[in-house]
Amino acid sequence: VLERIDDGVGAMSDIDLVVNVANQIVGRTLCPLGDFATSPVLGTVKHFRGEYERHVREKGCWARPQKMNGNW
Amino acid sequence: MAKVTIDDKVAQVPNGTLVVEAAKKVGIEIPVFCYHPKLSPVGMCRMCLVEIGTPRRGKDGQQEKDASGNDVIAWMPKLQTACTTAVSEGMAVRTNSAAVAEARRSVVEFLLTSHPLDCPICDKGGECPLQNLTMAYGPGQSRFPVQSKFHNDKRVPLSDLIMLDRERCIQCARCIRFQDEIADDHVLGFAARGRSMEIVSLSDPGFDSKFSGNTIDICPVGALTSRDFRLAARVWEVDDVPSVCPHCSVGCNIFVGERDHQIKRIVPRENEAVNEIWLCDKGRFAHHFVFASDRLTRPLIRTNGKLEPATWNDALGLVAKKFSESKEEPDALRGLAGDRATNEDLYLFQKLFRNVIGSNNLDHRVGWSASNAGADIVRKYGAGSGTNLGALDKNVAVLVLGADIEEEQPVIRLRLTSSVRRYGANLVVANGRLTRLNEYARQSIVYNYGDEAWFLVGMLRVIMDEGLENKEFVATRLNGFEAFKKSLEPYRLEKCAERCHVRTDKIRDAARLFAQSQDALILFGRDLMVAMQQDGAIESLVAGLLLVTGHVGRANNGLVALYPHNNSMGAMDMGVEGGREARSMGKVPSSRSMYMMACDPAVDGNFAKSEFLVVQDLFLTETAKLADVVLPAQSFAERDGTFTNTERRVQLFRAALKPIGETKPDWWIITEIAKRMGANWSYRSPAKIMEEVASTVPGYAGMTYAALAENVKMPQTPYWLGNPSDEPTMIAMGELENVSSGKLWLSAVESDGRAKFDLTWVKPVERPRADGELFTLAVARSLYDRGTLVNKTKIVQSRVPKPIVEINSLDAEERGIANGTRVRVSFDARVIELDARVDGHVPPGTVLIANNLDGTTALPMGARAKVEKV
Repeated sequence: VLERIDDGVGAMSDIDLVVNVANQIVGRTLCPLGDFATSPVLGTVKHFRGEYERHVREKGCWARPQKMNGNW
Repeated sequence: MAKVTIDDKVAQVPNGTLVVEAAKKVGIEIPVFCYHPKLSPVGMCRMCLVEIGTPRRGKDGQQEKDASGNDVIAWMPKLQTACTTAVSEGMAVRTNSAAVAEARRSVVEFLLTSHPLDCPICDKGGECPLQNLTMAYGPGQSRFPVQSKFHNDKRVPLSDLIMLDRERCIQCARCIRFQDEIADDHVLGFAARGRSMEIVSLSDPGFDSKFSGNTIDICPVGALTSRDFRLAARVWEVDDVPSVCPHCSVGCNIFVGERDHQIKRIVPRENEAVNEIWLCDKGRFAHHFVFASDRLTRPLIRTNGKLEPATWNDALGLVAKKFSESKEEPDALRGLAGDRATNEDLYLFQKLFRNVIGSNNLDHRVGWSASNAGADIVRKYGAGSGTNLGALDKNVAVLVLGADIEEEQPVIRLRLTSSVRRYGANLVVANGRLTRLNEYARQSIVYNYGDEAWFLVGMLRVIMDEGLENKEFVATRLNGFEAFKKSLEPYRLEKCAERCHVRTDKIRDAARLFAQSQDALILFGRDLMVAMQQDGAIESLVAGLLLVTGHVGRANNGLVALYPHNNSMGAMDMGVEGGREARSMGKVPSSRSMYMMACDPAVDGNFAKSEFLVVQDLFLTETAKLADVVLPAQSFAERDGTFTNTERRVQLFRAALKPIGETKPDWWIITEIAKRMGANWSYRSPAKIMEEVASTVPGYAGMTYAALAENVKMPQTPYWLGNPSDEPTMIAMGELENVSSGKLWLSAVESDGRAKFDLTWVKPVERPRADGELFTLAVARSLYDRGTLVNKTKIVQSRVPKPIVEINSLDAEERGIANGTRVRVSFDARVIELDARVDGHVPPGTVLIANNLDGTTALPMGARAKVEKV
């Protein structure tokens, strides 16, 4: 889902989906690492939700080098 | 006991019960994938997450109460797996809360992201727990696009029998745990991690286990499928008919899956007392003989030296005419009936001889089953009712004498393994060689072949010396104890130990364990049966061991004879033996006329054709090729009948198919012959014959078809085919009903609780000492053989081992033999050449050859053999 957002084909609902899926993992996995594997996603959505929304709105990542058409 | 509240229902269950099992007790289903009642829980699939809480105690250690006086429950902050949590007093469980429903929905959703949507072509479709639980608990719609589905290899053959679809696997490890815990063949494992994790075979050849087919049943998805049944039919179109496996003497309960009058597959039918829910691969896959293209379909009569098709009327008329001629001289007609036929057939067979012809000249011991022995002591001291070989606990000592259970009764090996591993039974294994079962033995004993009696005398001597006999039993139920004790006196333990070549401390330990255990069983196999025929003392020593220690007449006590064929026990019960003495192995004495039912002595050689030979069989066997009249019979799948298994359990099986060609059931053929000989017989069905058996054969009283059909587990109807209003409850695969069907006939010691029994002493044979140059030839049997019942099934052919000769490393080194060396074995004017295997399974001075493989038939057990390098 993150790749989808990053590739510019994501929808606004995908942001909630990502949070939802991460919450399906927390507290339910056999492996205790599962709990912490979700924190990068949950943390960034919590603090940088605007950036996720901008990715969706602008259909891709504005900060990724290859998207700058070589104009460094 | 602990009191658990599950969704307002209260369950009283023993401490240590898992929450998922406790919930079943009160009719609440907790869905599972990785959990299986027969396997240890791992909590991997997360499907069984529930809310669990325990009573909260205050600082004073007292239970806290709320305002209305109810216990305050401290709910755990996270959901817990019901399949790994054991109950405790006062525990509370919620399985119907929103959090639980949400967890189940998300687990199913995650599983489905990696699972293909190929249910319409999947063999599991229709009986698939993933399918069912998705319908019951899944989200119904995926939030992930179908393009992002995970793809992987869909055709990974793990062996000739099992195909793995990696895409469908949900990594529950049921198959791995089955192989590790139940079959104890560690041939499967996980490789890699995360989404790339896959099931791999760790053995060469792939998935090398006799029980691999069971993983198909317990797989909760269609990842492991049968290559025999692959894409052959949809499971709901297959009609499952309750039946009994026709191969070995365990008598595993099966369903014959029939569609379009063809056998599509065989699956195990649950019977806790016989096969639980397991089946060996031979039983599961080797059913193709039923539809083999060379099945006999019409009666044949020899005319002008050639077997020509004939009508039933002509064939039966000819047989009856010839048999009637021998009425004048009864011994001119000899009957041989294989111990693969049903009880009904065997009963009529002997009745034809005894009542119609007036002869006692009949037998069932043909070729290999010539080793059937020990029936007398089984009738008297057979294992008590309620004995369950799969759940013997630490109070039970099991003495296994002269048996190779892994090869000959594989499912019993599996069940003994679980007795030892799971419940702590004490196993003593004694034989002339090491077998698979020795891995689980507390005491492994390897005696000299031929000196079995001395080992038993040694054990009895220890019991007498140390006063370990059951004094109460000896006083109330035994005659002749003092005389027996006196006869033992000349036999010192050291002498016995020296003769049978077993250390005294091992004999002592085995004897103490056997005598001092609360319960004790003796299982004896073919190796000991052969020895019994050569040394009459063994039978009375085995009986003596049980009687002196009082281990008879109760559950988990007494004797189990491990016979070679599916109805060996029944053949003896029906009395298909008599007249002339059983001849030496495989040698069939000739008579003027002979009537052979379901047996093929000519395949072992040593068969002289008689003047008039009638053969009744499924195939044109070697014997049938010599016959004057050949009568086509029916296999187990085409008719009703009963088999008596090796534990004396009489079991009913039902016809699954229409008759093939003009074939007729054996009982019908015998009845028609009898009628044509003037007998007033009117048997219309096997059920009627069984009624007569029940009234005449001792021990079979009350064994009507109705009684035998009690508790027979019937096929499950998929719930959507049943009443649409039915709730889809208990649909998780692996749901056990703990049913047990069939009826055990009681041994003499159990049916009469006060009868007295005689202890008899028979002097053991003192064999001359073996000289150093010659080897003792030991004869094994391989599970997969070259017999007609197996060689029609192509996919198991790769499992049939190459014949080899096993030799001890000490002997091998002396003669320059290594693994794979070509070796010439000569005995009794026969010479065979085989590859050698040096693996320490046989003691020095013994060589072992499997009897039922290419070029190795009719081997004389215990012969003196010369072994040399080619």
